[in-house]
Amino acid sequence: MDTTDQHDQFMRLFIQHQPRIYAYIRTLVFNRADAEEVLQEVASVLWRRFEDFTPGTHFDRWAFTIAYHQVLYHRQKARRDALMLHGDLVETLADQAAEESGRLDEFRDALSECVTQLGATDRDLLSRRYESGANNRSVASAVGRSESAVSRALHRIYRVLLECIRSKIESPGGAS
Amino acid sequence: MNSRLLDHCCAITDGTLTAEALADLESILRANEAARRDYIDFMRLQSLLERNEIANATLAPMPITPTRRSRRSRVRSVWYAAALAAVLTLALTVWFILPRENTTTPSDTDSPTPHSFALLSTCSNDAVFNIDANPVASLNPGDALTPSPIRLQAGSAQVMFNSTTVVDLRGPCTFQPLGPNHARLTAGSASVYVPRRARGFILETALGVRIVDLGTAFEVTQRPDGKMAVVVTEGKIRLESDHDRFDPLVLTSPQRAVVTTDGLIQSQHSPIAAAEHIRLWNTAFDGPVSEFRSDDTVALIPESIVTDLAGKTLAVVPPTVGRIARFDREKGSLRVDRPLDAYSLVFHPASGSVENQVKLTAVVEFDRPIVGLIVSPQAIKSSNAWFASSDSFIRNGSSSLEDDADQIIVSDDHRTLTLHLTARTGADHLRVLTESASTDSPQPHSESNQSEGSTQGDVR
Repeated sequence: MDTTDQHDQFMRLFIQHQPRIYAYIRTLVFNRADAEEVLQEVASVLWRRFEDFTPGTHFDRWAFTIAYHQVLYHRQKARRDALMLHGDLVETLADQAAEESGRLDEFRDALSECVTQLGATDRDLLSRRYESGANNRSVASAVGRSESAVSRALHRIYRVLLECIRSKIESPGGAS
Repeated sequence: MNSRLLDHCCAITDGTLTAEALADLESILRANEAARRDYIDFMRLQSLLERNEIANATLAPMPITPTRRSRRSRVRSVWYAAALAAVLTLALTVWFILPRENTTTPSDTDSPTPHSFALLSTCSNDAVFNIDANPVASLNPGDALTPSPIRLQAGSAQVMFNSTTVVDLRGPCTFQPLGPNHARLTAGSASVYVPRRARGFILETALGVRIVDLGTAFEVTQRPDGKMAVVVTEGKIRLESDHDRFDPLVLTSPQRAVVTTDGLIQSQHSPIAAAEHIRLWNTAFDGPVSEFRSDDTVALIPESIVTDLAGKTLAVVPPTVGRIARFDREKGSLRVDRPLDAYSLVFHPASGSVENQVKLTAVVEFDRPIVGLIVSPQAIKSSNAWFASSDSFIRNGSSSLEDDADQIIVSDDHRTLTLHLTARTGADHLRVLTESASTDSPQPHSESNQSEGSTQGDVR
């Protein structure tokens, strides 16, 4: 396989599995910016080692293994006083997250439906919160509410969304 | 979901998790698999929201505001802008983050497959492009760039490489992507920022001189007369000559060098002596300049190197030898296409107030002749586009020099400014124009600085 074909094949696989890989990393890394940095490193390593990948096997499992080691590397580099889950718990969560990664598609479908059931104010708040560079404080400033009020509202929205998602997944037929 | 667990999860995303809460979270997660599943679901929810992975139109469209940001945030802002605008495909998202190895050799352009390894990430409204001499009516943000020379006739544009290296172009200039981390600048000016992961970016310039990134940001100008000037704004670079005209030379921030048409290093300068208050022209001026306040120090900010006026006529106060005492007029003009260097000079007293007038005397020497001064806020603002970013003017803080309170004295050889400045609430701001660094780079330095009622200090 020449380099171009190899690159195209890699692109297809990575595009397909990128959401799962990021979700896996995000489970193990508290900070969003750090998680995105780890994802970039993982992409780089996956490409460098793509010759090691056996076509027909599980790309996501292979990616999770590399992502896990990148997370460990990231933890080693982190500040000594940075808050992180204990190593044994990271390992446990990594195994479970990898095991459950196949649920991501139905989870996403359910989330899409559940978001439409939110009120306009809640959707607006959610939209603002996930703009680039936004945080609770900037959202609070933008909507003229206190930071704690925004925080409480988001907590409520997360709870509603998670309950909604779970009910859709667990209902007969699951999420559409 | 357990309320305590949800509180802890929210604290993670809010950045408010405490050590005690972390310990409690760990005990909950260790206790049972269901809690771990809840935690994984919560983080999965975050991952989908953060990457806008939910179906179209379920959330309100995210606003995209193409603003000039600090260099460190630019890569990320480009990423998000691209992703959120939904202009680019998922493939392009991957394309952004996928460095390809062994692709920074000059043979990149020989590839039979016209791979795109860079894209236009942003451009100003007035940007005008030509590619291969053919006018391009619609080169838009998000467009992939092939290894064809791009001539940016006017305006500004930003190119982002596969490797995540970011190059800001200022028209007029000619630029050619050669590989995922490799380009050529044959005319004009560019600012290059190379993230850590893209270290090794190579910029070819005319006459066989190569700039190799060693973890850095740098400014480069390729002049029509063939000379090339480079200043390192962050980290370090290595200059190499294809023809072995000089040994590889490592420059560290904020060193600069000028390479002649013969491909020889003409001059190399040590850091400009203005200490921590110096901010190179492409940094956010509003922040550092506005924040800089001192009763006994003048901020001296190099704004650009080798600026061509490109047909513009610039009204200036001519560098009349002796005291300049009238600032209510802008007399004289500079020859068009004359290469110049520009420096902003700011006195913004920290203790100034309506009641408290602060006086300062400072002497600033340049090793090139001063060819003009721009002194009124209006004229400084109107000349920003030629010498610095458009927002380098100190908004609402800059005051006119006053005929009865401020004096500028130019030495006989036009190389020394003696400033007697007085300010209360605003900042005295002037722009100093010198002969260009391309002929023999100016290196301003100050000698003394005394302010009334304060300790004597250095401008440095």
